[in-house]
Amino acid sequence: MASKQSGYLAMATRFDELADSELLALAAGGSEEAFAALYCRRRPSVYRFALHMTGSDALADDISQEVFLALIGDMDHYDAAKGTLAAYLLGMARKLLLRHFERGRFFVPFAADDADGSRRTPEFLVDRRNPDGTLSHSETVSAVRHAVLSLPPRYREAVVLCDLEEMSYEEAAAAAGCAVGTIRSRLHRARTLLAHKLRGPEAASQPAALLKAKRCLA
Amino acid sequence: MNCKEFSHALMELARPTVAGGVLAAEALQQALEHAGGCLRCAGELAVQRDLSRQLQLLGQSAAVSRPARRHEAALRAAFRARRKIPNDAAVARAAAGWKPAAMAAAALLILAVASVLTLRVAPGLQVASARIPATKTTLRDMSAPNVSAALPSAADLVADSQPPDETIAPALDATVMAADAIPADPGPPTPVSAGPEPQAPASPAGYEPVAEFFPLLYGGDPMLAGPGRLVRVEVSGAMLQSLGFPIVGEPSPRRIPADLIVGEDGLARAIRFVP
Repeated sequence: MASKQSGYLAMATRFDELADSELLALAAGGSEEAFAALYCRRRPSVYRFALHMTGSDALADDISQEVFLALIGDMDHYDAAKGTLAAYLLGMARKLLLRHFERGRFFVPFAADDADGSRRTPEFLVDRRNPDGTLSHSETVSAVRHAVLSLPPRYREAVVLCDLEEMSYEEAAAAAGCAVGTIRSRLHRARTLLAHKLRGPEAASQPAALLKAKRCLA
Repeated sequence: MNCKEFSHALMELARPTVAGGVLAAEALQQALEHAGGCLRCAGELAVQRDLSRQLQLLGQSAAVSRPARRHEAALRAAFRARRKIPNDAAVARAAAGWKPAAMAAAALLILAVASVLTLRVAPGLQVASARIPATKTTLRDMSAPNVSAALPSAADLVADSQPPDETIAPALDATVMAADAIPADPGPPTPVSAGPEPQAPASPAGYEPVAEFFPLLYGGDPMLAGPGRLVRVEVSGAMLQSLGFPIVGEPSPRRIPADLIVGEDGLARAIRFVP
């Protein structure tokens, strides 16, 4: 199997036992094989993060390429005391993505902000069907993907990091460059928004005051 | 635990597979017990668990495409280019180490050549002094007959350059130094008019700091003056004023050593001051 591999994947097999920081140190010392191993190990998560944030394969490919090019350019910049290398790479990807978002190249033309500060979801991104049993697997995935993409970037990245990439709060906070509490609150808010989007108009339109009134105070 | 406290634990209850939770197991257990008795919180927990399941499906569905070969090639090129940087830096450092040494050697060589040239010219200092820096030409004939005595302008100039002490008379003959009258000794030239004024500190053997010649207004173009002589004089401030130099205020009685280029017609062509 290994003989059929080519490129960086073939070069990376020797370094499976080493940690990310060790691979980076070797790569900084000039070992291309170590860099290949690091690339093969960490590119998927960077790619997935960019894919979930943008919904675009091509952009995810470009972003992950830019991340590793930037890593080659400054391998000494990583500080292991500030977080894992995975979080560091995702942080780089996040900055590149935000730069893309700021340029407006990949903005979906959202309507005006809602009263709670979030943006109103475009109609074509909202799946009105009930996901409980009536949707097939692919339809469910598609509906959730669209709902995630419709979140504001700061909430989207919290969902992508914590739920889709299954990072801990600390790692997600390091990648997002914020406090753990901020990540937790953003994730809470993002999941509430997602639930409302996916449960359909009935649940989403339920008055908040009514919900509060139903809460037990026991 | 009430519903508000339950909401704090909701996310961690709904994401059981995610590590790094901040709540203790006991708090999570209490939250679960609360959900067992509260229909609304149980519903919220069910919704969030369902959301977790859907997000898990989304996460698993994200197929990571293999990087394009051109991307790998670009990364490989970038990495190899970076690996060359230390070598280039070492070469640059080595080159940087050579530069000061080469510059120092060049400076020493220039100094040595300049010293040799200066020492060679020093015995004929007055001849070298006859060079007119501005025009880069020299007087063609330094062996012209001594016409200083017959030159009214130069004579006046020299006479004025004399100190008032009559003991140095005859002024003209004593103060006008023809080039051939200056001894060949490369040492500093001795002023003829040895007055009471302090002398400038002696220069190193064979050297005399000189300034550029200033053409005199009535002397015409020094280049067209033809053969001439170099005459060492001492001029007063009043004389300088008469030569057209801007003297502010009352001219100082102090005399200033200077070199004059005197043409064959007896007119002073240019002047330079001897520091």
